Amino acid sequence: MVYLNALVQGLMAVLAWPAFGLMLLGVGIGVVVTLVPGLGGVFAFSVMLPFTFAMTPIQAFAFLLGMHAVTTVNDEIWSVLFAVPSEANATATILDGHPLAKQGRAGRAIGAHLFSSLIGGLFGAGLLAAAIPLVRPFVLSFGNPELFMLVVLGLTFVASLSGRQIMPGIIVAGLGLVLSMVGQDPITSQLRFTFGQLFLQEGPPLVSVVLGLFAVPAVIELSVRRTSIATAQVALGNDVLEGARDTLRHWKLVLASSGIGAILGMIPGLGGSVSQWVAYGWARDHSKNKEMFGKGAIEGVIAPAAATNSKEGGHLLPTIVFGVPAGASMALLLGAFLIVGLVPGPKMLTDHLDITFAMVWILVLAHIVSVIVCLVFLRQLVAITHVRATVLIPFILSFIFIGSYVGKNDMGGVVVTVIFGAIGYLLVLLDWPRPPLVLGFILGHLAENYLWLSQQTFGLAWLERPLVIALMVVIAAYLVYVASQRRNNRIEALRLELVEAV
Amino acid sequence: MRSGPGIVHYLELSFVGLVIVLAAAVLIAASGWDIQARLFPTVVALPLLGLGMAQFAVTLRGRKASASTGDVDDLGLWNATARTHTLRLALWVAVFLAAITLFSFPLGLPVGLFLYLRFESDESWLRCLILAAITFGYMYLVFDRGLHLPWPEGLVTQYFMQ
Repeated sequence: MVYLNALVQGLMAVLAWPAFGLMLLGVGIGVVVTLVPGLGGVFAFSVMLPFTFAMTPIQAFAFLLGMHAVTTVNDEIWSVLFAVPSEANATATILDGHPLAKQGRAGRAIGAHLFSSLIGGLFGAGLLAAAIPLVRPFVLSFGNPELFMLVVLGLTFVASLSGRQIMPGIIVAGLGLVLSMVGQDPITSQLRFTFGQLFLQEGPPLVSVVLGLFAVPAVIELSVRRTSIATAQVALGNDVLEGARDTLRHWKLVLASSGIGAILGMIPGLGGSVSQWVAYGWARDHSKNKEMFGKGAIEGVIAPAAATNSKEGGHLLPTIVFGVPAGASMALLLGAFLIVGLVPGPKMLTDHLDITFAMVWILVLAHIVSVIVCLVFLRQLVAITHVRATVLIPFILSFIFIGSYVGKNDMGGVVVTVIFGAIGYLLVLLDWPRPPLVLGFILGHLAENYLWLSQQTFGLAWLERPLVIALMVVIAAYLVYVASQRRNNRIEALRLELVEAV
Repeated sequence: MRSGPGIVHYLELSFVGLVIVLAAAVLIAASGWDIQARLFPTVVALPLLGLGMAQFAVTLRGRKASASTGDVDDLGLWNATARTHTLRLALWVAVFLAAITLFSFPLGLPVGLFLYLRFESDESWLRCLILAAITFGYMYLVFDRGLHLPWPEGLVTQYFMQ
């Protein structure tokens, strides 16, 4: 009964004005952002985060998740049309989507993609809603020691999977934790690393850090490329509905791919790339027309689309329930939690259950609206892709400056953005991951509180709790597994090089 | 995104060196605090120091390996064109900051935008003026009249206000 009430309250809250209007606005902004390859969901999150300061929690999530949902739907349209992915999540679709476009069947590919995305998105949201009552008793049994270990687990996952090597990822996560120490200590109010600056008393503004790390390097890359998004005209064709029929014909594949995406989405650090490739591989292995894959097999479009969108529901589960984000976008969503005054974790399943279910409904409605918007305005969106990047850049820079100031109404925010822009660019040059830094920064205060309370309550005996030991074993086993996988990949790559040389 | 090994390895060594210095500085600073304020920084900075040193050794070994095998530079982002455009963008960021400092946000951003569109994007004067005017209108209506954001005073606008 509690869940039913919360489900209904959540829906009412999302349909109310201005939350519903903000969701539509978020969808509109997401559509525009995904027109520019390389910007995508993480960039949109970082630039739009400052605007959530004046919003209530449900309004803020309606805005951000509405924007996020459409980026996962829209990304792959450009993969189909121009073989240019808007984000790394959208690369599998190029293999079969672009050949279909070259055959004059772009409309069919896009239609299949859009309807598979819709079903995948709804599946992911449904799984999230169904999982909440099951997960709740488990989560409520966690104490401070277990919550601290979950933070370490989340950091380990994101640090080890978001880059080429494990050590740089963990170092960057450590830097994020150090950054979180700037300002007043949450326990004693001791000022740490403020260098006498009042501006730093509450720590560097999250929004400025995020804008610098993600938005500035994205603009630099855009400036270096200096072309329009599209460099060739592509005929859309009139068979979008044929693509929709393809989705219904392959309903088993859609459901299987959605399941793959939703389940893999729950594992922090795996990200959308893994989901779509696993779904693509599964589709190829179970297809009667294996030889068509890579040449325009419609299943090769359907599977990644369903998986990429269903993972969003999966992503939200560890983010909301444990405060362990499943990827970079979810790490930024955690920032939104802090901005609106919520703490992810057990309270989201008790005191704020209606907000949690509101997020489920936002996913559902945002996916429906996104697909409708993309279908209705597809030809106009394709025309916009011919705008030159050098015209977009000053507007993007303006948004970045406004966003970095708004966080604390202080020019110090702009300075922080510039500094972290340089750091973000350096990390891109070094091929080191950036999401662990943000995650460490966001989770640092929580981790410090959990650690101190664990120490105060149990002394060192907190390390002997069964679930804590189990989580330590999981972390250690996971690191060993990832390290051995990377080593095997390097050995295989060396072996192939030797074979080719001979 | 791969970059030339020579410069990038020096950058990586420098960055990791800074991480080591930072971790050591945190440990030294934390030693003077109460246990409540000291616990978390110590728990984080100690492993960070160790990992930093390990990464330093790995990066150093990687630099020596590529030097001895004579790897060809993989230019990637770090080529002359990319460096030029990156420096140009950095200069334009400075121009925007200068415009904001002189004229505050509502006027400074449109000025920066106008200059960029005209002299970097090579748009026509009329189009630049129209887009800058639209931006000014957006800034004024949304952030000034709508949200009442307290923008900082610009040095020039402050002078004229006096």
